[in-house]
Amino acid sequence: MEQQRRSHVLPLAVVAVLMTAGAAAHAQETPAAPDTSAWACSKCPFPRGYAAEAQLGGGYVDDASAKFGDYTGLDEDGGYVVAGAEGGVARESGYRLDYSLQDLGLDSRSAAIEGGKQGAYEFGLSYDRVPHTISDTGQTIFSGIGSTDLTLPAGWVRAGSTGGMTALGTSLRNVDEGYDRDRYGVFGRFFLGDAWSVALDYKRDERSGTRHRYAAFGSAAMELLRPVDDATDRFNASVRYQGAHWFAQLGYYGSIYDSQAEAFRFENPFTGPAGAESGLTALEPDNSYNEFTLSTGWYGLPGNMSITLSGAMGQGTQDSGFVGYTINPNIATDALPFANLDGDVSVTRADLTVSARPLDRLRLRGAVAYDERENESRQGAFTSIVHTDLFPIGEDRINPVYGFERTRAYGMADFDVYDDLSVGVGGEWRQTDRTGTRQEVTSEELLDGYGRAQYRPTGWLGFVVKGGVEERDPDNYDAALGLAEFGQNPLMRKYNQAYRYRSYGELLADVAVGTLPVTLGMSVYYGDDSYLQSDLGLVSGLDRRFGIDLNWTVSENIAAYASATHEKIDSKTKNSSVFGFPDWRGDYQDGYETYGAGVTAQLTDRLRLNLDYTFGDGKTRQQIVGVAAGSFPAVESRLSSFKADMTYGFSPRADVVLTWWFESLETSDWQFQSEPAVLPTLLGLGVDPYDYDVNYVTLSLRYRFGAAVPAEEAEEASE
Amino acid sequence: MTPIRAFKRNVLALALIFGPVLALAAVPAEAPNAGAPYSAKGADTCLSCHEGPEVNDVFHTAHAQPGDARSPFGKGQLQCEACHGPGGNHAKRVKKGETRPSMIRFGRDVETPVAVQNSMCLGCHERAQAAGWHIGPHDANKVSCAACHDSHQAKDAVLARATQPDVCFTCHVAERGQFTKPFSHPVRQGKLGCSDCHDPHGTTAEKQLVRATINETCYECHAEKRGPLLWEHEPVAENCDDCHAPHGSTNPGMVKLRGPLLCQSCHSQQGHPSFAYGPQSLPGGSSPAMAVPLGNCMNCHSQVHGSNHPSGSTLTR
Repeated sequence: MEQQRRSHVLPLAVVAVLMTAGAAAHAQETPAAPDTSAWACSKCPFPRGYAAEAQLGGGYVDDASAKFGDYTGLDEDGGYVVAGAEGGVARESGYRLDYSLQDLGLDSRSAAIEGGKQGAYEFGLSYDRVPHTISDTGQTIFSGIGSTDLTLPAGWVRAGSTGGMTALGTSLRNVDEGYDRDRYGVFGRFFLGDAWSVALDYKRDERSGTRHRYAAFGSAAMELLRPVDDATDRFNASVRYQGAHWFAQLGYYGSIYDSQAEAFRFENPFTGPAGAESGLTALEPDNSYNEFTLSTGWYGLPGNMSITLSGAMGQGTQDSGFVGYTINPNIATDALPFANLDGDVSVTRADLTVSARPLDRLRLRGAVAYDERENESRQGAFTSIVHTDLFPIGEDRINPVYGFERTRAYGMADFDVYDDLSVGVGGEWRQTDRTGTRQEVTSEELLDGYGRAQYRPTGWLGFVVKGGVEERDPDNYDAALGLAEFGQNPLMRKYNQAYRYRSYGELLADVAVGTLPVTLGMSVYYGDDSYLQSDLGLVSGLDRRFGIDLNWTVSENIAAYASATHEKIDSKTKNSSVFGFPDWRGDYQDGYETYGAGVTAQLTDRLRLNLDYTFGDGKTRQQIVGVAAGSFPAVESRLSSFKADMTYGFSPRADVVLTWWFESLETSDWQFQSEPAVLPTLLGLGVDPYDYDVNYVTLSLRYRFGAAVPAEEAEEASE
Repeated sequence: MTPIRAFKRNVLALALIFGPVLALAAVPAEAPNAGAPYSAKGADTCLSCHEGPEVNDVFHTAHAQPGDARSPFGKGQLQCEACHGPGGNHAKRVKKGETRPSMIRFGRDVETPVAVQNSMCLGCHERAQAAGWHIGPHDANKVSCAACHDSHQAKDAVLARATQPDVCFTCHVAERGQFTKPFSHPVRQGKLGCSDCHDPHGTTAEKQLVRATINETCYECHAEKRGPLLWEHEPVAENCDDCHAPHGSTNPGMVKLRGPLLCQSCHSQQGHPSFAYGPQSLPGGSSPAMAVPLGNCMNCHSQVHGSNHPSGSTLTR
């Protein structure tokens, strides 16, 4: 009884103290509300009418490069039109309409229009083209690029190796790789009084073009260009009720992926058995996903507490018809167990979030989240599997279904010891259970704990130091299953399921240098992963990152910055070439560093200059220790990018803009092979490692229309 | 006394001793003009002295919309003082030698404590953020709203996809470098913003992602990977991050490790999956191997994200 009483006294005492402190902390003095009826805001320069800015000119790219043009639309050499505009009209009543047209002369063009009445409704339309130009140095023998049927050229001479393909040299033709992504968007938001709001959002992505894909016939393989021809529609809709200190929201999310190329056929350039003149490979099938969410939350509760609770249920489906086991007419196959997967994945999620500030100096946060993916797709025995359209494997296989349940809980407590010093602790617990077809690890637990301190002794100096450890611990690694089901060496521990001990530390600092208008930001990260129970597989990983950022406000009109980053990632992987104990190890060292600097200067009332330089230098080393020992040639990349733009205003409404962008990228990479005949049994596209030096220069005129511009307002004021 | 009972007694004693101390110490961060009266004419008082684009641009923003009753410049609202606090004392004539009382200011390097700055913003915006902000790392690290947002700018840089990354990179310095790697998402080119994947205002998702999981976030642009597929590759449906480095990589496909080593970190089947492929395996080497150049293992096992082909059990079709 005595013990019971004590066990109640403890929490009650703590709660009482916290509540007292909380009450003391929040007894703030608030001034009396003023009478604002006479606040006319007569000097407030609210925008009136229409204002716009348009830019028109020309640009020139001096060399063609797919990599330089990747996402910029500047992949071809020659002239480009520089065109863009933005503007809008706004009324004091809250109505507005804004538009933006960017890079109209480039493949990376975009357009958007938004409008509405603030606080009542908003709407918008958008379009954005994202050009993904991957390579322009490839060569292929195939015809029908971009279609789902790749054919060999007339007169092609098949051979068992690339050396015997006598028509190879004459059949190659240049081919570009890449695709455009066109993004369309529509949204609307409606506020129905103070409490209700409705949001609707629709996005559509269309992609068309090609990208490389490998395909094999037995032990011979080739690099092809597969078609990309698909569209994804996404819908978001929500209805929200907002109370004084709570809200509730019902949401719907939908995604429909629709591909016009779910499989493609390609002819075999190698000699093979009769019937293996062509192969067929599947591509991504159509899929859809629908999800409903319900969330609610309370805030401004006693102790400055906020609580949010949400739940979601979703279902993903995929029922595209299967292709046959093979297109090889000489191989007899059984009937498929079913004509499509009838793929069905159920998703369930829930989370609870609580944050509180019982004392002004104490912050508590915590959350619990549950996430389940249950794969309820059809399973069956596939009895006539044909290896690469060449021969039956003679073994029945049942398609697996993989799912998981993840439960995650985490919490943090931060306490302000002094105004300038905060300390905190936090942690996370995560349980992952793998469901469906059995895997080596069916259940694992992750525990993470960290401590942090934030110290800001003055306004010009601040630090955050954080350090912690994390342990991922599988209940049991079933190596026997790996051996029986997948033929794995029993010593293998897959790195995404293996026991892992991680220690990490992080330092963030910002310093203002003396009385100078200079601020220095710095970040350091160190993470050390040890896979202590892995004899084979990834056994260690070490991640070190350092970054520094310097900003200097030289004067009222000049600002400069400089930055540097350094990153080094090392890892070691072990394996056994004799299906026994480890007899070789792969050591991987990935280093990357960058340096950058820039300045923005308003040199005169009319002349503005921006300069920006970025340098990136990467070197990746890979060596094998033990069997087949040796070092691979280093993979290197060196990026230099310099941008300069100068704006001269020859009237309050008109500017001339001159820009120059020089970029150079040099790479050496053993993975890229510049000759199509890579190996006797491997026919590639012959893509070169990236290497370009490109200048892009533009000259354009920018003109402002409509309402008075700031310079004119200043003139008016001075008059 | 058992160790547990001793522990409880110690905690009780500490709570009773330090509790009142904490309560006394719990003086909230105070606004510089707390308790001051409001100005006589609102914004007209402020604009008598404060001028220039850095001030007037606010009238091109959502904060200065007289037609919206919720806006600081809406009917009956407190105009400049809605955010900067009461300015009655600040606007008064100051005697020679006296310092003019300060107002609440916003930004990284200002005297106003972050807690005070943020409380002004959250006074209106907490309704939309609910608990998200308080659970996120930016609140934990005492990042002020104004460290990212410039509410006086007609075009707040952090709200535009092309200019947003530079704002984020001022603190996330390492990421600035990562996005210059040869294989990365088009952030440097202005076609993707940090907020396309991350919600800086806080979520319960890992890494503050915009969707509930890493994979769901990736499917926003890569819906073709969603499946389900007939022959799934186990880690694919679980976590794209197992193999990919979304902030950029020196490896094609933004994979963390170059093949075949990446694949051999999990695969050890007898025969070619577990062979050691040294530099001799490169084309021109003493024992060239299919599993090294170009797509390495994917030269044959091209369907690494899973296959919907009935004969695709080894992910070759």
